[in-house]
Amino acid sequence: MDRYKEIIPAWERFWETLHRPLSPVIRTNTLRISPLELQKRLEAKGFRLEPLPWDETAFKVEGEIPIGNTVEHWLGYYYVQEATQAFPVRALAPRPGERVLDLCAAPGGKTTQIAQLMENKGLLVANDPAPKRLRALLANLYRLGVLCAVVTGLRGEEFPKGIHFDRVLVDAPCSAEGTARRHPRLRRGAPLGIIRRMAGLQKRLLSHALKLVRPGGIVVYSTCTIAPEENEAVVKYALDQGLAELLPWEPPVPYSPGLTSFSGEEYGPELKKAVRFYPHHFDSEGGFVAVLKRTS
Amino acid sequence: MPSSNEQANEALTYFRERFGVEELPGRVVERGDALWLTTASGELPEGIPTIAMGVRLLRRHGRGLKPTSFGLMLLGDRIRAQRVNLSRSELEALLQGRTLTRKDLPPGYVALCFEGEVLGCGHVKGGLLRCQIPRGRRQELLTALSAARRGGV
Repeated sequence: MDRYKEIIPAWERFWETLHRPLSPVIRTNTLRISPLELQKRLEAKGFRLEPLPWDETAFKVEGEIPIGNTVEHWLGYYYVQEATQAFPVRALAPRPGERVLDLCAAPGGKTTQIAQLMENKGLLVANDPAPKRLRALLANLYRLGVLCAVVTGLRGEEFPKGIHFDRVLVDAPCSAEGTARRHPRLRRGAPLGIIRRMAGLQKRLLSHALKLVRPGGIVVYSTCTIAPEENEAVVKYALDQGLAELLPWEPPVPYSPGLTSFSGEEYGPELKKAVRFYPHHFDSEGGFVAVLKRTS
Repeated sequence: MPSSNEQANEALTYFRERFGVEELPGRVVERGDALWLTTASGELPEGIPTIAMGVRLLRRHGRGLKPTSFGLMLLGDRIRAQRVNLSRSELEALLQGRTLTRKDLPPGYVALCFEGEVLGCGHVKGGLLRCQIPRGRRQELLTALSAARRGGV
């Protein structure tokens, strides 16, 4: 990660945070239960729940047994979702009745969150090309009772045109450096070869997503990595095609603005509108979110 | 992807007669050998292969219909008939693949329940009750029950 020393504010605190364990966070499945009822049920089983101040459906959880091993989880009353991972869908802001595409949907944490915000009304296309990951996606959609989803297994960059979606989420496959608290081998950073390979795919995915959304529609691009080559560089590449503009988005937690340059590459001042999350910002993982609006 | 009143009626009639369900929370579409429950508005253009649409509710099984465990779990409190309430030890026995002798139950599919929650599908034949929940899901539930016991709840 040393190559990020110049861009990550309070580097020492960042590095120290990477070595601290991460408390699990759960998101209430509001299609099945209210946050209050869920809190009562889990507290009765000995868990300690602390509501996240910025999200009334989410709780930080402590307990003697893993939070994924409860009957309530099995019944689909909640989804274990790290706090940073909830922000791309908040930025997407889907509404009931809309046509929404989740282009890289598996394993379904964000897909099920979208379905909740859509109140199971509208058309939610959940796509992922990897058969093994699709099985996890389906299991989560069924477990949480998502009825508005249609599942497809296509390569995202080849998803057929024909539906003009109101919103598209591109939560792209990435080198996942932001998850280093859970995966300590990533503390040394991802290999540059992987970062470059991912960036190629990400550029194809985001460029294609902009052709799938209707004019005026929203595309959210997100990753769980720190590498600017997979974040700002991808967004700049898509913007350069002239199909979209970058919108400002203000998350309800501390964050850093997107980078305007890195390692000799210029991304431009526009990229300040993108959002970078670092683990020491609010005791979470790292991530990146950019909100694009199709202009033509 | 055929979707018609016929399929909706077939599914609703089945659930009304067998499980006392008055209303389904979506429309019914037929795909392959199954009836699916969905609220998706509209469908994908022809030629886009679809893997799933909502939740699979019923499978065609020989000459009859078999409810899925996810379908029964989804219908939950809408199910008023054929609810079989299980103790923890009975549930664990069924999840381990054992049968329970229940001469009091009519033959056919039932909704397995624990602490008021519908968990999934069971089947009664000759006074013996068997679990129809898929094997992987059974194992996950056994793990959850065992963890709860270790945690003292």
